[in-house]
Amino acid sequence: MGLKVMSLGAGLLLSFAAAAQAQSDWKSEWEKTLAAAEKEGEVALYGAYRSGVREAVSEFSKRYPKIKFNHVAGSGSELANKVMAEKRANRHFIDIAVGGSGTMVLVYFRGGLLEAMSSAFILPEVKDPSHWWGKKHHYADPEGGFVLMAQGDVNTRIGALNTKLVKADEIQSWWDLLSPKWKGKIVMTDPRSRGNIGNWRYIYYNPELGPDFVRRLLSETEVTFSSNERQMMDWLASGKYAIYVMAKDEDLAQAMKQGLSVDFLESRKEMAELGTGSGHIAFFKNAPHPNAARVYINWFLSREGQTAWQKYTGGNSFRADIPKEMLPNGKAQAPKEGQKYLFTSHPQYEDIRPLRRLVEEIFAARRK
Amino acid sequence: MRMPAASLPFPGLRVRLRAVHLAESLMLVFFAVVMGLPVLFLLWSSLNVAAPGKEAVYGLANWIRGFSDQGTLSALWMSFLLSVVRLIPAMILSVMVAWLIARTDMPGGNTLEFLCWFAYFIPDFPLVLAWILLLDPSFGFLNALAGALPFVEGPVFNPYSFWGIVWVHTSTNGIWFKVMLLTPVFRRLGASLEEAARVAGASNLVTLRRITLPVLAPMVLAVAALSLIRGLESFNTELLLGLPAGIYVYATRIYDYTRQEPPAFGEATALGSVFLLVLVVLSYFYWRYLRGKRFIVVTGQAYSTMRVKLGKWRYWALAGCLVYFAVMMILPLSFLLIGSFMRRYGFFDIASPFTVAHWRNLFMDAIFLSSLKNSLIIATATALAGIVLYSTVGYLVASRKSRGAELLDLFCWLPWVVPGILMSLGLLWLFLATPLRSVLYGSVWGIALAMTIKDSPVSTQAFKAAFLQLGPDLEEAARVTGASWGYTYRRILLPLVAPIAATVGLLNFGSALTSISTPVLLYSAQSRPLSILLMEYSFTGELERAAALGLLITLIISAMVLAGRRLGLKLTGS
Repeated sequence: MGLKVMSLGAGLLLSFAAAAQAQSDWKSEWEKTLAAAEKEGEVALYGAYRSGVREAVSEFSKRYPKIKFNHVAGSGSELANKVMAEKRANRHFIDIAVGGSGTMVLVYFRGGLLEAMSSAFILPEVKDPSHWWGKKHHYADPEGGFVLMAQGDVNTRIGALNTKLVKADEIQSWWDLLSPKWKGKIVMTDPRSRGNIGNWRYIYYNPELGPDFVRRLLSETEVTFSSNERQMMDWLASGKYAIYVMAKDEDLAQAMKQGLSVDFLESRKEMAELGTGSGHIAFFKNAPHPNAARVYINWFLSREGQTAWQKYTGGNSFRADIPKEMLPNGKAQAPKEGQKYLFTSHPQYEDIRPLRRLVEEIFAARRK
Repeated sequence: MRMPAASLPFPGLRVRLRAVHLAESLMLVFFAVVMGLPVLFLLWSSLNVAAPGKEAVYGLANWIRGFSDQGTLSALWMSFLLSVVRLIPAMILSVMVAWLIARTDMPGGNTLEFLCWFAYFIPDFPLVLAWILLLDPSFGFLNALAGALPFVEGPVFNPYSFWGIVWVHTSTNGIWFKVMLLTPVFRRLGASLEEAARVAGASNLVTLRRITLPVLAPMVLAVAALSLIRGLESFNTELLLGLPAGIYVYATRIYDYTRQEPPAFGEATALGSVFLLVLVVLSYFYWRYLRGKRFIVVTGQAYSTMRVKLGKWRYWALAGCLVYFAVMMILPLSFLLIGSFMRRYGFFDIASPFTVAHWRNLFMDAIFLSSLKNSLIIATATALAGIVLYSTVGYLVASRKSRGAELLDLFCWLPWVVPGILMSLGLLWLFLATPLRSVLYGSVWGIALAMTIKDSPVSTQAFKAAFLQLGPDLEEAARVTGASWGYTYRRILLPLVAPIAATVGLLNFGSALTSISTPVLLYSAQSRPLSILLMEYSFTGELERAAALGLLITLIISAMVLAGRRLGLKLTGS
């Protein structure tokens, strides 16, 4: 008995010692990295244009004023070209990218430009996956370790409706859009516009909708296309159209806040999408400021950084330990454990070529 | 017959010719590098069919894909049709307005010219939205007004149509740019030819058609060619107004490829090569037309700039101009100004529709001041560099009959025939490939250089037309009195082209403040200009703040135009 008690005590002591050692390890590593980062003096982040992204990522400067924060904004394709040109010339200016999954995976990851994200993790709250939804870190790249998805919104959204023209329960499913009542009353982005076709993956890969629905929606509803989200929202609010398919949440939230007669249009029948928007982060090989980049990544993925992300962008952080009430759609925007979603940023939905072929076929048939 | 420099009797002349030849060679090398190389880079990389970041594989797949894409040819046809249809009335109107401002006694000419400058630099995106608010068949203000009339049924106007696009283009960039370029050239025209025509019994209109216009052909044709190419490249208005009506243009297809993920720049370059072909064809006709003709209107002899007297028509002419300016500029501009003070642009029926929040948020933006400073440095450097560089190029192109000068002329067109974002990519590659990359890449100086290059077609053509108007006797007189070429150029030629220099400088200044596609790949956090901030606001749905910033940029340019015009008019004694 005495021996058992002694062994238990020794075990406890050892584990306390190991924990203390681990804590002093990460602390000393963090202090060392922070000191080196301050010596480097700056960090370069290339980020997407999205409402609130600049404000969210720039909060870092308040926490770490000794590290100059260089933020270059652009669309995914612009930044991809900038980065590829720099890398081809063997010049390294970028430390971190924040943006959508398309460019991150198709250009940066496939081009072999990224470091494994875990190599940047230092803070225990960042390393520990239990703080995240599903108790794991989520990645968009096929190897599962380079393009981290920090944001994930439950999306049952069809788009937006004009509250004067559409009754609250009139549309419950995507299939209801095919009703003759809405013929000529729907507006959306042209799926042939190459920057937008990725948004159609949810419909195309959803077993409850699929190619047949894409075909019927585009050929039976006399839909009007526009390239400009603001224009479509204004049309909707003015009553020119009753439904705006795939309206962006942030545009709609802004329009509602401004007092326009518009509201969310939800599907209550089909499986929800889990959309990751612009909330992906990647760490570059040959980063010119590797320590500052590590400090940034740890801050960004910390409770503090992700709270700033939620606050400014309105996108739900996959971190489960921060309040969700602040989100435009409240707790309903955050995914629930055990629930099934169509996770469109997963690699199996990356291929849009069959979708593009289908859309081109439909438009060719419309012309005949 | 030209004499070889070595056999010329005067050693001074030999030295002068050598200096000019050297200047031409240096310019040729410079432009071959900064304009030819980016285009070559683009063409070469369009043959690379490998995925981004992978080992290069060369082939024609991008070109085949680009041109076999459904609808490419019909989009190209639509682009030509739209460009030509809006070019013809716009050119006629521009020539008339420039003539009225510069050559007649119509009152208020200077104010009208200033308004053209003001209108040209108003950002077009919110202006197109203003036209939508005015003309939309469902909620357009003018359609609602027309609908109140007893004999009108249904909407009268529809901006989402071929003619709607033509109309809005006429408002956003129809005549402003052309009048800005043509007016100084009209102003430099000596009155002796017109006076002779009138003495011979020709009316004002016949004199304009038979005497004035043929003499000013180099500039009129250059402006027409520049406008045609700009028209072909235009896509913002077409995206907003054409897409809902199923009207697709060629430039939209190129834009689409550049926005794809990953971006398909190979296909975009392949499609963009059509503009190069258009340039070659236009240059050939331009060259054929000018060959063997003389356009000298400024000589060392008596020079008079007396204006044509319109009599009672002067007030009718002014009234016509004012109506045009009121409809095409003041009306949408008023909506834009009101829009910058509205909670939501165009929505008057929401609770408390007016606010100053967008202006306040603009000035409170942490990066506004640094962006303003960067923009002013870039714009000033671009304006000064443009004057120095293109006055030299314009002189060489106009006065030399060598192959080198012809090639130089052709090089200077390149930045406008390659779509903006592609040219920016070519320059990015160039900057990164040179030892000067630490000075150029990501700095305000790199952006200023890129902007100087981007503005070369208009700057070169403007100076070229101005130098073609100067008689050789001016230079000869200076030479006989022992003046060096540099002295002659500085003291005789440059003052005579000062109005054009002021126009080019101001145009470059404004263009550097408003351009988005050129700096978009070249800026860094330290060199971010205002135009990029404006784009960020537009992308993030903050159209009202973008409108406020757009108006502020236009006001800065207008202040510069006022100061510049005062200087230009002082130099010409107008």
